[in-house]
Amino acid sequence: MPIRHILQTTGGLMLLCAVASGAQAADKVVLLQGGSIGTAQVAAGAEAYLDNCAGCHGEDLRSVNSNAPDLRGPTFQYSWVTKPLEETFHKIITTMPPGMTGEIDPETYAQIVAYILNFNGVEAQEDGRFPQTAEEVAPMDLVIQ
Amino acid sequence: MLGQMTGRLRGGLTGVALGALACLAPVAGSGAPVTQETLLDPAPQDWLQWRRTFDGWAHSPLDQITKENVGSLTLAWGWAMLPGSQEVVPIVHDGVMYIANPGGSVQALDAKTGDLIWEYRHETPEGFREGMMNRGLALWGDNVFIATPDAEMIALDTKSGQIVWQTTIASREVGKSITAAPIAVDGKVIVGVQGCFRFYEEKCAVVAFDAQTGAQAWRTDTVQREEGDGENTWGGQPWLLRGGGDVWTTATYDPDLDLIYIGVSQAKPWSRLSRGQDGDSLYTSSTLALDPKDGSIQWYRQYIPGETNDMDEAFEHILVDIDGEPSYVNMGKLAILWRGSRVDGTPLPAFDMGLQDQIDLNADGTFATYRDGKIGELGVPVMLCPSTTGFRAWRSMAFNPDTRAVYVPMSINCDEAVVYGEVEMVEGGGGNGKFAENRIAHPDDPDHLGRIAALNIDTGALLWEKRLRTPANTGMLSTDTGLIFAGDWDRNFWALDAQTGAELWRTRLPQAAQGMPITYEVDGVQYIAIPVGTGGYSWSTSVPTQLAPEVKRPEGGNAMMVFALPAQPS
Repeated sequence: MPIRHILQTTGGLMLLCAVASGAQAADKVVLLQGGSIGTAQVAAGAEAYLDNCAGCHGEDLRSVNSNAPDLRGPTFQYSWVTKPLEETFHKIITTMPPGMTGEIDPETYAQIVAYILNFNGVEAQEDGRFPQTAEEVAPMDLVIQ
Repeated sequence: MLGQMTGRLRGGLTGVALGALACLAPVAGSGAPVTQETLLDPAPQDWLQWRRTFDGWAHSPLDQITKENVGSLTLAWGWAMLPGSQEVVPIVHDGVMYIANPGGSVQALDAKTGDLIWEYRHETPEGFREGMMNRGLALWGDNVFIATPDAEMIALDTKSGQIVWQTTIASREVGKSITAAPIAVDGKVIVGVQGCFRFYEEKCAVVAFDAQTGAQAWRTDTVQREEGDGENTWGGQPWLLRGGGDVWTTATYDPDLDLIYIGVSQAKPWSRLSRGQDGDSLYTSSTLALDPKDGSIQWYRQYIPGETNDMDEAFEHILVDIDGEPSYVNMGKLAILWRGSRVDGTPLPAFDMGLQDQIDLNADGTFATYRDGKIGELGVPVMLCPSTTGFRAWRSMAFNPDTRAVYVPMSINCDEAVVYGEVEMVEGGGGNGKFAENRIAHPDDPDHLGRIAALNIDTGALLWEKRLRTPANTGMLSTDTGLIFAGDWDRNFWALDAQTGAELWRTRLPQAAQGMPITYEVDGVQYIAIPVGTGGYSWSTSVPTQLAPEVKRPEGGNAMMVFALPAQPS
């Protein structure tokens, strides 16, 4: 079936719109319900992200490696907002960076996740703090408004 | 003696900081130069290239370790490796083992004792992530060759570890990288380029260098550039927007036909919906048969025209005769054993292992059609078996000429909700176009994420299979004594009976078996080497971590583990 024909079906168009709005996620308010991120954590996380993550996920959180997803835009919407944050956090602390998980300490993981959340629209607070364990992340929810 | 050594540099240096830190010790063996004749007929005790011989069998003639005595294998020595993503195969020549580490550093060890002979420390450019994967090395003349993650080809002196020459393979500035081991053929060292993830004018390619000088001999892009009135198989898309065609496996070589065979991955973005065209997109999802003298494409065979779900057919080719004719077999992520003529690529009937749910085949072994719903729609979740991990991927098969079976290391899982979307169709845009995934166990076998299968290449008959809780996580090693060595993510390493799959020996490793086991001999003793480690492509770490959460393993720890029979009292 020609691609254009597929795209012209009603369902295809509707879902394309959904994707397009997801690409604007960073411009919308993203709430971290049941938790917070700290301003200092975000600043430290930006540096730690460049050192440990950008090699595959890109300096601008757009992936540069086919095994690594984007961490912004529609991928953030589909793969972070729609899944339990605890699950995503657990995956990060147990598998990232590939082959180097033992090299990163728990607070650095928390800072990196705080940075990713902030990049995608979660507001940082002076007294905010993103936790270090999946158990503490479990009550938290990401919501786009 | 430790000392900073300065390499002699004749290649095109590109501002990369280089260093070779060498620790010199007595060298085992004579280290005779490696020639085409050596590679065509390697000494039984050597393992000179990634699958041992040009035909890709990973089958050793050594016969000291047998079905009867394998049960008493014991640790001979181990060597901790640098941290990072591990999928390596060691090579051994004249009693020296050469190991490529994550990040591109190399060690030469006494293969009998594990003593360090020299070490080359590769320094990547500032900002380049440490610990990126390197799958192995090649030998030619007096040099050992490494193609580094930052896309440099480096010839190191096998005796000293000093740099003989270094040159740039591809532009790391636009994401190009190398993971595969090179292959040396008739004075050329040849390797594939990957990293065609975003859209740039520079494409992925197979590149050859003069082994003595480092001069580029030829470069063959894996994306077709039509000429004149030639057909545009990319749906009219301009050159810039043709992504993918990555090469991440080493070639095999037929000396009689003088052809190398190498696999090319699918197009990017992965979905033809994201690409915005449903053309065949040559030479993606194909085998290229190249003349090693000039890189010219002698024939190609595309397995899935316009592939749309990241189902690589990009892996090793095993060269065999079928019904007396020069043939090859290969298997990609869908667990379909493709077979064909290595003279001209003419297909032979293929064997589908019955696990995939995406495509149908014609009786002659060619692609027929995608099944309903498996091309999907943008933004709509689709279920796919396998997931993008593939039922098999980087872990290479072995071939045993007695059973005429390939031994297939498998990772069994599906994806219940792949979501593809649009990508930016501009220079520097692109990407894989996948917005979401949710990997699950295979509905037909929910308790097993792995399998080792023995598949007869003439009939497609399944000789046996061994189902595993976690993925089979190594290449396969076959020996003339009817043994198959293989390991899994759960730190098991086995010797299996090639005919029956019966477990003849098992040990528990300190970390996941991850890489390619080999066997070699020094001073009359046969050794089995197995890499262990973490990271890895094809989601080697995240899938078992998520889908078999009860299986625990250490966080880090790359190493080479070497086993042998106990020493006999003299």
